[in-house]
Formats: sequence, C-alpha cells, structure tokens
Amino acid sequence: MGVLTRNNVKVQDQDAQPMLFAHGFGCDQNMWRFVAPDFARDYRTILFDHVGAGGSELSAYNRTKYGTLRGYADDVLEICRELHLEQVVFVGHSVSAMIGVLAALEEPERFSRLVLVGPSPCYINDGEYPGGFTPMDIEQMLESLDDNYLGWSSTMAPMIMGNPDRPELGAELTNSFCRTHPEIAKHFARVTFLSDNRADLPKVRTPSLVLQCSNDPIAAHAVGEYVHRHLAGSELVLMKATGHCPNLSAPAETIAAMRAFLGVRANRVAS
Amino acid sequence: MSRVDEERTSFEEGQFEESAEELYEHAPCGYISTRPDGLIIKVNQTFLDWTGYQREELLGRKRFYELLTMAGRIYHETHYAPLLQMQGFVREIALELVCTDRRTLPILLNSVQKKDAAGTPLYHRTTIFNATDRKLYERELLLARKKAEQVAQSKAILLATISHEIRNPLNAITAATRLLGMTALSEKQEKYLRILATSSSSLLDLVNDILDWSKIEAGKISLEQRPFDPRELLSGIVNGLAARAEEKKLLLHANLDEKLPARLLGDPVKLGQILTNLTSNAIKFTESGSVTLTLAVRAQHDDEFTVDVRVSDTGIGISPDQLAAIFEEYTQASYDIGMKYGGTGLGLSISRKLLELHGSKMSVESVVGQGSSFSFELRLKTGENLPIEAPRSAAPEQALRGLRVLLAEDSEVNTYVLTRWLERWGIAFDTVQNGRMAVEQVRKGGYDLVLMDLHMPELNGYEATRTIRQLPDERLRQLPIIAISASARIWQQGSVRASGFTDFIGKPFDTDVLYRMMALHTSRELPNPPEPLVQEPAHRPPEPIASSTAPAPDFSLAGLEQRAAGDPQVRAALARLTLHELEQTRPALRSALAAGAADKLERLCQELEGTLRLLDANALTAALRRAKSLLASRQRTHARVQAVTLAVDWEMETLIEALASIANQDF
Repeated sequence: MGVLTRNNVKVQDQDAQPMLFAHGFGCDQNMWRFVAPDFARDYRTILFDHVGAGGSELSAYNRTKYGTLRGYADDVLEICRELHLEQVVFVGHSVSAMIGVLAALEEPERFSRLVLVGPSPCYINDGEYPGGFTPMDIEQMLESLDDNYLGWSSTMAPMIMGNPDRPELGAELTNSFCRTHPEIAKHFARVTFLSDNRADLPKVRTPSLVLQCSNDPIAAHAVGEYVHRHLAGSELVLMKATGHCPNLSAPAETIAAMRAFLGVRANRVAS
Repeated sequence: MSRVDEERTSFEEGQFEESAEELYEHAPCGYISTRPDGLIIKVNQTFLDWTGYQREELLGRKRFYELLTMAGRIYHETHYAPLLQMQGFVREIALELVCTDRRTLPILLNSVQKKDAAGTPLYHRTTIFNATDRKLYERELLLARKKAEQVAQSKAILLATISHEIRNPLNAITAATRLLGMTALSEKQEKYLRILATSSSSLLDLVNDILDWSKIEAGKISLEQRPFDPRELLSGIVNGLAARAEEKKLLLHANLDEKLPARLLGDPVKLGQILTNLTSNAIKFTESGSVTLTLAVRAQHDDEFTVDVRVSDTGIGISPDQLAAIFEEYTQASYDIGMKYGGTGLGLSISRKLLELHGSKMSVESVVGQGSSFSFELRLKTGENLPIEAPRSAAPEQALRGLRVLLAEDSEVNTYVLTRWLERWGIAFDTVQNGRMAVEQVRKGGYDLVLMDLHMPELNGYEATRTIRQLPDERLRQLPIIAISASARIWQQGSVRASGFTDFIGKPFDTDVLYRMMALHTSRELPNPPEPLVQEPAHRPPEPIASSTAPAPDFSLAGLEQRAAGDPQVRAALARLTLHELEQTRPALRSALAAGAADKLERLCQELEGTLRLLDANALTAALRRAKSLLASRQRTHARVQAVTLAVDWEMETLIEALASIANQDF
C-alpha cells in the first residue's frame, strides 16, 4: 500500500513552497477546510489523515508503530519523502503540533517553519508544570470514549447499524465528518494524552509559531507560554479566538497570524 | 355528546393552550443557547432543576464546557465543537454534566448553529436529554459484549493450547513413522505403515488448522515481510498436492504470468497456506476434470504489483444459497457434504482471515455441477534487489559439479524449480517437455543421469524409459533414470520399476534427498563401484525383505529411554545433549573425510563411541568402519570417498532428525 493511499493524502498540483497540514485527535483533514484554501493561492498545500482517521487505510494500523507519537511523525516524514517535499511549512493542530516537532527533530533540513496550533507537550500536571489534567481525568476521558464510540451515539452509528462496508448508508443519519475507528481512536487518545515531549522542545531549531487561544480547555494559556519559552526563537501569538480549534472557529484570525509569521520571516531571510 | 366531541370542544375553547414560554421552561428536556464561544445566554427551568444551578449563575457567566466533567471537556473540544463548526449541527453526543452538588448527570445532546444571512454563526441552540437510564442500559450491554468477547477469546486460547499439546506427540508419531519407513519392512508392515502415515498426517493437518484458526481468533497472528519467489511458492503447492490430484486422475495446472517478478515481498508461508487450502479444497470437491491455479499481474505501479490469484475447478460447485455460509467457521456448504468429504470446515475461514490481514477479500463464483472459482487480489511490492535466504541444504555444494543431466518434465513450474537447484549444484543440464524428445536427446548421449516425469504428453515417462532401455547401446541400459512422481505408492506398485526406472523422487521435492540420490546413482557408474556403499543408499531400496533375514536396526532409542528411566524431561535433555554432540562432530567428520585424514577420522570415531553405543547406531558404525578402511586403502578414488562421505552424513542426519523430535518436545 502506498503512503499516499495509506494517509489519504490530498496534494495540490502546483510548483510552490509546500505547506503540510496535520489534524489533531478527534478529527480529520476536514478541519483545515476554512484555512487551507486561503494558502492554496501561494503555497502547494498538502492535507492528509492520520492512520485510523478519515479516509486513511485502517488496515495499515499497527499498535506498535502507533504506540508513540514517533510512529505518526514517521508517517509525516514518509509523506514528505514520497512527494519530495523540501522547505516545508508544517502546520499542526493539537497533538499534531508535537508530531511536527518530532518530525522536525528527525529531519531538520526538511522543514522551514513550524506552525503549532494549540500545542501541548504534556497534558498531565507535573509539579510546577501546569498540563491541565490529572492522570485520573485522562483515565476517565479514555473510559468515557466508549459512550460515544460504542454506545448509541452519532459518531459510531454506521458501525452499530451493521454497515461498516458501506458507510454512506449511515452518513445521512449521523455526523458525517471526522468519523473514526473506535479502537484506533481510543488508542490514539491514550497515546496523545499520556505523551510527554517536554524534553524535545529545547532541541528544535526550526523557526516556529505558537498559536494560543483564549480559554482553551485542552491547552491552557500557561501551556502555550511554556512551549514558547522552551522553543528557541519561537513566536507566541495570543488569539482572541476561544476554545481549542481556532482553525474552525476563527479561520480569518488564524490565517492572519500565520501570514504575519511567514511573511515577517521571509523578509528577515531576504535582508 | 360523545367523549370525543367533548374533547374537541374543550380543545377549540383553548383549555389546553400552553404558552410558548411555559413550554420552553418546563419541557421534558433541557434547553440552552450559547454564543459561538460557548458562553451561556439562555437556559430553561428543566436544565436548572436537573443541575441545581441558579439562572444568574449561568447566564453570561459560564461557558457550556465548564459544566462538564474533565473527561467531557476534552471530548467537547476535540469532537463536539469541531463537528458543530464544520457541519452546522451535532447529534446525540454523550457527555456528563457536573451538578452543583457534584453529582454527575449523563446526558445526550443535540445542537444546531444559527447563522445570519452572511453565514456567520450567531449562536448555538442545544437540547439536552437525561441519559441516566439509557447509559446504565448501555453500560450493561457493553459489559455483556466485553464478557462475550473475553469468553470467546479465552476459548480460542484454550483451543490453541490443547492443539499445541496434541501436536507435539503427533509430530513425534509422524517423525517416527518416517524413520520406520527407512528400515527394512515386510510387505504387510509397509501396508500398515502407510495407513499410519496417512492417518497421522491428516490428523496433523486437522490439528494445525485448529491451531491456526484459534491463533487468529486470539489475535496472535501477524504478517511477515520477506522476499520470496512466487514461482517456487506455487511449485511447492502444486507438487505438494500433485499426489492427491494424480490419485483422482485430475489435471492440476499452474498458470503463471510472465510479468510476475522473480521476487515479491510478503509472507510466503501464509500465502502458501491460503493457496494450499483453496487448491486442496478444489481437488477434494472435483471428481473429474481439472484444477487450475492462476497468478496474473493486473497492474503495476513502480515497484508495486497488483496480482490476481485464482483457483478454479470443474467440481461439484456451490449453490447460491450456500455461498455465504462457506466462509463461516466450522461450516461446510451442507451437512451432507461434511459427511461425505470430511474436514473441519475451518480452512476457508482461516484463508479469509489471513487475507483480511493482507487487506484483501476472497470472492467466489460457482455454478452447481460445473465448478467453482475462488479469487482474490494481492498488492505486493517486488523484492527484486533483495536476496532470498538461501534454501537450507545439507548437501555439500560442489560434489556433483560437472555432472550432465537430462530433465524431462512438462510442468514449467517444476522445471523452473529443479533447474534452479541443478544450477546451484553446478550441474550441466538439458530440458525437454515430453517423452519422445527425451528418447531423442538420450540417444545423442553424454548424460550421467535422467530425471523423468511420469506424466508427459506425446510419450509418457513409462514408455520413454522402456524405449531407452531397449536401445542397443549397452551404456543406456545402465543409465540412471529417476522417476519424478507425486505418489510413493506408484513406485511401490512396481509398474515404474518394471518400466526400467532406477529410482524415484517424490513431490514435493526434498532437495537433500534428490542430491543424495543423484550422488548415489552416478557413483554407481564409475569403474569398480565400491559394492558395500550401494548397500548404504540414501534411499533404501524398497524391496521387501523377509523379517527373518532383516538386518540389525539402523539405530535404537531404547538405550536413551533406559537412561531416562521414564522421565520425559531427562529424556529430552539427554536427546538434546546427544544431538548437540552429533551436530558438533558432523562438520569435522565431513572435513576429515574430504581431506583423507585417517588419524583425525580415528580420533572422531573414538569420541563418538559412547554416543554410538547409547543409540545402538549400527548403520552409522558400519558406515564409519567402511570410511576408515577406505582411507587406509590405496584404492581410494575421489568418487568412493564422496560416496562414503555421503553415507556417513546421511546416517548422522537420520540420528539428528530422530533426536530432534524428542529434544524439541515441550512440557
């Protein structure tokens, strides 16, 4: 199975600097639908689904490989290699921010910029570090996923109604975006929320932008500050947008912040 | 006035009229409205009653997610909010509210986005259902499902364990049966031995099926990725099943696409299992006609090949209403079929699951009375530049170099595999596809040996050999001609020998046996053949020897049993030690013989003395004795030394094989 099929890669056919968008836990590449089109004017945009989400090949899932975020970072690098991407602007939301950090550490020369939307290197409180959640919160969240994935809930209705082969039969009745395989999603949730990448941040040399929302229940302001402090030469933008998904709730503000960062950097390089 | 009329009158008079306000506040579900950022701007009384909040604590002060458990907040942000923003509505998301008294309240919620004319979201409208009972019910269901899955899994594990336990002694039985077949037996004993061999091997097949299936069920099977040769894989399968096809007088074809690369990356063992299962089913359910295996390349992208695999037969077929059932575990198309043909009904289910691991699916087309065709698609990468692990061979690679062999075989696949080995051994060869060409070619002369398939077009192997033996040339009467046959029974029936064949090799080919047989029969042609060596053949001549004149057994495990005094662990440990010693000595013996080092050979024999006694290894002792006297004599030729080396090596291998089956039993 090719990498492009495996990750349901959608690539724009134009000769420009590549911009690779990576979605977070709980969704798929659809979550870039209000942001990516704007950049398609002057970048070669590439969208994909992590294995287990959206239109990816579920059969490619492997609990060992995807037992750490590094497995997902390897996929990002494989996509880059397959498409011969250089000077990549990597845009990662939520957990994919850290996936991008890992990829950039592995092959620094491949990435020109990192845009980290709502990043968190560690979701669990640890001494002075304010991750936002206790281990108990995370365990409860993992348990409660069954309520939506296996119970009578919209997200998983097609599986329950016995049409796993023909999801289109369930699509009319249910939430049609961001469907996900329940077992994979649960494992991804565990890997995401129990990851700790704080030690990786200081090693990053790629210029990066931290986009921090107000009132983000997943990655609080203090976490964004932490990421900014530990990423050498990073920029922090505190957005007016609230919640965890400014790419959906405030696409215009997100685009503007990204363009400011990318534009300024370009000028600096030129001067 | 009837009651219905009365009700209509009161409805018209507006007695049941309820204000919209009243309906909103006290509806049997919670209502809230929020700004796009989640801030609560309107809430109904039902919601307040459920949660214990005062209206003024919520309005303009709390965002909806703040009322959720921590777990719920994560789900809200990662699933609910993005979904709502992308599709404008959300249906039946399960969350938990935290009430003012810290109780949690399971809810289901539906939300819609209200937008202005420009499409900008103004606010979200949400209805909330109390899901307490429903959740309890769902939890029970989930628990029941989990339990059922666990039970099924532990049953599969139990089955796997039992099958494994059965397989160990069964392996020992089949190994011992094979060894017994190498000793001198009366005709009657041979008949019993055949029954023992077929029954134990079909029992082993059965147990292996159950073991495979239960391993898959218990989630303990994964795919390997290594380079393999698809032609060789197919040849192994076709040859392995050729005997059964021959017995039923069915034609077994293998069609291979020329575009198929020499190396593919995948799991040859599991693919082989699928193909063997489909092919043996096809043979089982076909009474006359043919069974055909086809591998065709459908597409190629860079180094990835899409291969269509198909097994079709001219058998009894499957009726449309039975088609769906055949992939189920333990199910055969019908009860009658199970009775008539036997089997566990696990084969297809295993194949289907193995294909699922490959991300593929089996399709079947069938017409009752005309035949069935099972097919699937595989996507495999080529391993063109990767070396295949060299096939295991105990044969010394160079000993047959320079030999000239004629191969008469009509099956392309067999020709391919055999010639690969001949090349490897440095043997010069010609190939022909039928008996008539074989006779012509042999007439031209120059061959040391002929490998001849029995079933060939134009002139079959029997006729060709008979013709060759009747030719005037004396040398051709002595020319070793080895029959290629799937069925050992055919050789034992005597018609093959009567046609003038020297020996036979069974399918699937055991290359070590082939090698030894070729060494044995070609050394016979040399001047002054060392007589005793011919009596020490790789393949013991199957002439029945009356039991009264039977020679001493080749070896015996009785001494080992005695030393172990009935303790299986001691027996296994002893076997392992002895095995180790033999394996250590084997290469040293080979090189001592090759170098003609009589003193070294003497020393090795002394070291082995204890082992030889323990195992009553008469055959090996005799072979070593001959080796010693040959090395001492002045008449030793390269060919004689080679022959005696092979004889010693063969006896070593026989012992090693016997010991291995004991040493590897687990407890």
